[in-house]
Amino acid sequence: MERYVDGDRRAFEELHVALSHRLRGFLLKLVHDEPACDDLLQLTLLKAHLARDRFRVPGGDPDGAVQAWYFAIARNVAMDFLRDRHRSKKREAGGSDDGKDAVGGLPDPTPTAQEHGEQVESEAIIVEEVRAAIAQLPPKQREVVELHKLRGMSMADIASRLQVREGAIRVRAHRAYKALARLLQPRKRPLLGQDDATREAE
Amino acid sequence: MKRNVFDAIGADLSAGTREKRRHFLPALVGAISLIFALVAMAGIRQDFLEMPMWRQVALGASWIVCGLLFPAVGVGLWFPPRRTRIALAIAGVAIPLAAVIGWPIGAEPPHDAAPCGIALVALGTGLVGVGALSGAFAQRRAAASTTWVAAGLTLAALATTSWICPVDHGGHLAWGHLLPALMFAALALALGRRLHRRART
Repeated sequence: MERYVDGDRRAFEELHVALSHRLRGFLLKLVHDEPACDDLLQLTLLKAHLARDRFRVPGGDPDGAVQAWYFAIARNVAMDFLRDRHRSKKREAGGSDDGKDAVGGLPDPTPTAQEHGEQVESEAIIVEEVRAAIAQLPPKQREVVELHKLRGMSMADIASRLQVREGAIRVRAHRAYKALARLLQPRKRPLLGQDDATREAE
Repeated sequence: MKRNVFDAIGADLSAGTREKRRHFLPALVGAISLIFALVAMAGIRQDFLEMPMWRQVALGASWIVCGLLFPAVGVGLWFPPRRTRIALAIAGVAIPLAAVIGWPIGAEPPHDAAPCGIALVALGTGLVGVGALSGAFAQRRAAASTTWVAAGLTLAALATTSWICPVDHGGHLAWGHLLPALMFAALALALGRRLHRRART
């Protein structure tokens, strides 16, 4: 290690041969990600190279000190990788990044078969209730809601299609969404997007 | 495993070696110039060709071993294995000593030791000065590297005095060559350690 620190390329190659295999196994055990292991190993070697001037032999065992130093760097690299992966997963799931450590173990975001079944059933009930509420609307308001929400048409397009002024369509839509909000329970509003629709209608 | 980082680290280490060589070669040229200047001014000893062949070879080898190989190890341009280092250290001390003392030890009458001592210290100071200016004492992290540089330069100066001084009397060699060399080596080592500490902290 001393020779490597002093710039001996051959010493680095010997060190690399002696440590790479074990470091890779160590990283694989930490991250359980075969393709990422090679990158993490390279990152470990690079970080060790950049910090090699800080290497010290604390006791009388230089070999042990070198191994401990490399494995400590590899562990830090693996922890950083796990944190980044955890943050990415949270972002993908729409959660906020609270900076907590992922290493302690995350709850598995994949639902069980039973949870999945319950979720599907719950969604089906909500859809039925929303359809029933829309059916209770006056025909002119129902028509606007169906064209706007179910077919995704803009207010201008609906006005053009129904040969009515756009302002009148917005008024109908506003009244329709207010009526739906009354008919539906609060927990179902987000599914309908009532707030946004009302705002757009206004 | 992909080799891009491996190659990048290797290239970085090679660049460091090239940088060291850029400092080392001008210093080597400076040291050789100083040695040849002293030899040219004082002249090669008249009995040089009458000396045994082994002694002539040993005097020449002393320059190479002590003036070139020792500093190369000291600055980190050459990283020999442990056994080679030990062999080099033994050879680096034994060859100049054998070349300086010779065998059998001459029986000339007592000779003034001061001029040789002064010449050795003057040349040694020049060599150590070149080493200090080129940063040779602070190239490696271990302070022990300064020993290689200081010992090499001192032994090279010791060998050089034997190129010019024809006296082989034991007392003269002890007082005019070996003792000044020993004292100068201690001073050079202390200076080297100081420069190393200053550069590394």
